[in-house]
Amino acid sequence: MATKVLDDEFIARLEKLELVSRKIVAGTIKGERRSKRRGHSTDFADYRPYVVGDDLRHVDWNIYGRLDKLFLKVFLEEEDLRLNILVDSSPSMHFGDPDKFHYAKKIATAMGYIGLVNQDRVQIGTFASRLESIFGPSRGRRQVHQLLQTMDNLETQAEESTNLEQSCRDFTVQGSRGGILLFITDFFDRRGFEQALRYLLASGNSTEIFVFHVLAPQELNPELAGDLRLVDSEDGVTADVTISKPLLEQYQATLSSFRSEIQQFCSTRGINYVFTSTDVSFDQLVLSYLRKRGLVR
Amino acid sequence: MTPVWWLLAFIPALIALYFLKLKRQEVIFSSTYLWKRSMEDLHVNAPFQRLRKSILFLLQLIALCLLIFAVWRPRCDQDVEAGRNIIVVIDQSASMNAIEKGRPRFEFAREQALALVEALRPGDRMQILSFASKTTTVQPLSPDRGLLAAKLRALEPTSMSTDLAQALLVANAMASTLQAVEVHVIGDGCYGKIEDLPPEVARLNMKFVNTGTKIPNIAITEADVRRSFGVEKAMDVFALVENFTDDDRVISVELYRGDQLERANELTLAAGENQPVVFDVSDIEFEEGESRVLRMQIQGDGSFEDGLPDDNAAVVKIPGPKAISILFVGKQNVFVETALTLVPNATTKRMSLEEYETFVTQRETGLAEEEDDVPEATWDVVVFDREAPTRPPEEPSLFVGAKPPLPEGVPEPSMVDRPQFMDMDQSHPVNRFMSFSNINILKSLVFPLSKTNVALVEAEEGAIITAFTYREEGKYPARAVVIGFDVTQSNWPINHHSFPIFFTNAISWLGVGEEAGTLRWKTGESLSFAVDRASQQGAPKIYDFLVPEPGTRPGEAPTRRESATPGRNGLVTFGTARSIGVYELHEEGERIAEFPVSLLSTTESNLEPQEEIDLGDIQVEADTRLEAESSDLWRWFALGALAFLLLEWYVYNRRVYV
Repeated sequence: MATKVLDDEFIARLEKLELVSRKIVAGTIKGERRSKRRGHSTDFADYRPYVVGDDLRHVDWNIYGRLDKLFLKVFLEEEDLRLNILVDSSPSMHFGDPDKFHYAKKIATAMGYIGLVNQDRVQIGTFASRLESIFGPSRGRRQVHQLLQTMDNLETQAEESTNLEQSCRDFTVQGSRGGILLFITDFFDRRGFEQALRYLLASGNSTEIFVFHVLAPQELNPELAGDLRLVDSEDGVTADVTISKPLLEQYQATLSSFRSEIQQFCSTRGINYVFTSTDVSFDQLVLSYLRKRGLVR
Repeated sequence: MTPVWWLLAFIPALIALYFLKLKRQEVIFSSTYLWKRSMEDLHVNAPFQRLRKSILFLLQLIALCLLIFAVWRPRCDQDVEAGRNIIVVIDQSASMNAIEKGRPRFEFAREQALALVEALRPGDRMQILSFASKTTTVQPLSPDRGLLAAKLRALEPTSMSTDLAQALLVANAMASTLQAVEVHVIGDGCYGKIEDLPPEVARLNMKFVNTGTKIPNIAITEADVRRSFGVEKAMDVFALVENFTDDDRVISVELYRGDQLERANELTLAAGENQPVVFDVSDIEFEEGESRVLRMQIQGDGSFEDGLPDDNAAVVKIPGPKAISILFVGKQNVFVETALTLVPNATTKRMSLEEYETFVTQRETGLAEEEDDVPEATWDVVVFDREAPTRPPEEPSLFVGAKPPLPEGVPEPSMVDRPQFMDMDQSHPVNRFMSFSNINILKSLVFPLSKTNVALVEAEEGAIITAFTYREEGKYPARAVVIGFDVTQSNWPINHHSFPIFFTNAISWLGVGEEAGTLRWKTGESLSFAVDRASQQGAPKIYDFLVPEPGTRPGEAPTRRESATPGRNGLVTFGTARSIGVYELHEEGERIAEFPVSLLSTTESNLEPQEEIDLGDIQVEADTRLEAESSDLWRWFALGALAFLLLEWYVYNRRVYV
């Protein structure tokens, strides 16, 4: 039986939050977000010279009186926010204590919940070798129940190894442009992560990408000893290791360089990189850490 | 192939086991991606990663190797360089027969010596000396370990007393011609203080290996036969019994004639003390041809185990009724003549010097003219009182207050007024039971000391009583004792009991031959007997010594036969008495003399080993055992193996970042 991803108390605290996009987002229907497009809201945005065909109702006649030139008042258009959440559901995510996948689901559910409550258009997909949409696009509070149910029942995809590149390509091909993209994964893919992230960037400049790099404490500080045969949970590739101090030191160094490679790749391309261990309390992550990083307010 | 080589087979076995055993535990991990990357990096950076991979195996392998080395019993001869010359001086004295832990002490000493042999390195050479009262070269310098070990194994302890000084002198003489010399004295340290050694002996690179522990012992440390001069035929056998245990002991001393118990005395001996035991043996009658040896035997109370059986018995000889004929040459001298009458079994005839000279001339003439007409009269001893012949006498002679014709090498004496007594040679048979103090002499001839005369009694200026030997071509050597002063001009005969004793001793010594006055011998001494002069004409006779084998029970007859011929001095001599017991001299199958030999040594009977050899100026401290010096390393290897096993266990069970 699936466990509840979020408890009610935590959901209540999420009520007060909303997602923030630093980019002006382009929605498909009028919503509660500022739109890139100038529109008909009450918020003044700018002036622009009149061109033939413009709606004369938007001409600022006071300016015309003073300057004898026609200027149009441009108003901000408010649109809905697209929130895409991609959750890595490969077998490698089903590891650690607390479990990485459970933690990823919590992030996805919490963010999805905030989005739904704030009338954002929320779509959630999981991926291992390919991307699969499991929720949405939906908006509105009425969808919360379905979101929670879906996420509660979500499991990792057994016997499918991670293919970040293919999954991200699937996402880009779907044409979900703009809005906020949460990409939650452990990045364990032998093919690398760079191409995958490039596909995400190809979804457009208007998309604000948040990469959540989730690792378990057992991956950060492996509690292993002796002569072992490590079996990869995804592809079954084995590694015969004799745990020794130099090896563990080397593992730490490799892990650290792996993280910094991703971080560097992201920061140079305007992607927000959020690293978290599953032993970081989820409350802390969402309520304080993500606030600081400006994802929610 | 030694068992150790078989152990080497464990190494491939362990390797095989390792690969069979190393079924790595499978652990599912989220991704081996980072591990693979880490290992690749590590392989690039660490050339010994392969070794690290098999750290447990390596540790096991090291532990096994160390164990094998431990079983191999490797040795490390510290501070020792190759090319050494090792002189092993091994104690063979009677105290080495003491039983420790069920084995004679000597066996432990032998083991130490064998350990030294085993520790020899290429280039090293070893010489083995054994010592008791005499020092013997068992094996000259040799690098052959097999030979050295064989010689050591053939060594047995003797029943002789100890003279380490002589052994050290011999070792020093050997060492003086060699480089890189180590002298190892292996023994029980029952040596007492050793003095008067040349200083270079103390500079020897000497090590002392003490192989003894304190063992309780009760011993007869002195035994003798005394004749009471006051009472005719009165004879006492005397023994000194010493208790070398830590407790008071009640023992009995029994006197045996053959196997027959004659007397017994019970004694209570306080710890560390000695007591004399005296048996009056005047009424013991010996039959013709019967052994005249009496044996004293200690019987313990059973409360302790006696450490040394050799010193529990002592044998003495009761002097036989052999007649000594004495010729007294000179004017009447009541003192000397009375003393001569007290000599047991002696008959005295008096003659003036003129008569004597005539007799000698006749005898010589007779011999020269007609060979068969040998003058019948011969005397065992001639005593010249205040007069001396012009030519050396043929018989052994005692000169009293007269200057004898001096043989070559004896220096001319000088006359000294009121000479003061200084010293006397206590070991000489003539001085047995003698004391020379409080004797005043008006004047005396004083003989300077030389190689040819011995000083029996010394004054400040030289010997006032001396002894030497006339060695005339074609004649038997004849001994002479010279009293340099006229006894009538001294207080010696008047109020001193030593006067008749001296004459008895001197006549016995002169008349019967070497050690004839001796009624008991100590091990290590030589045994000699003066055979009848008259019987020595013609071809030399062959005599047989019957010698007790080592370990012969007290009272048992000797078994080993050794032949001997008389020397030019008319003495049949047996070199060194190495075992205790009764030695017999046989002529044509008939026993003609007995030599009771006992240990009689306080030093040997005191079985408490010393922690050091006291050489006067320096002390050589005892090493605990040779192991300390030539240390066995197996313990360290075994410890190392244990340590590696523990480490392996630790690494296996814990997160150890080695």
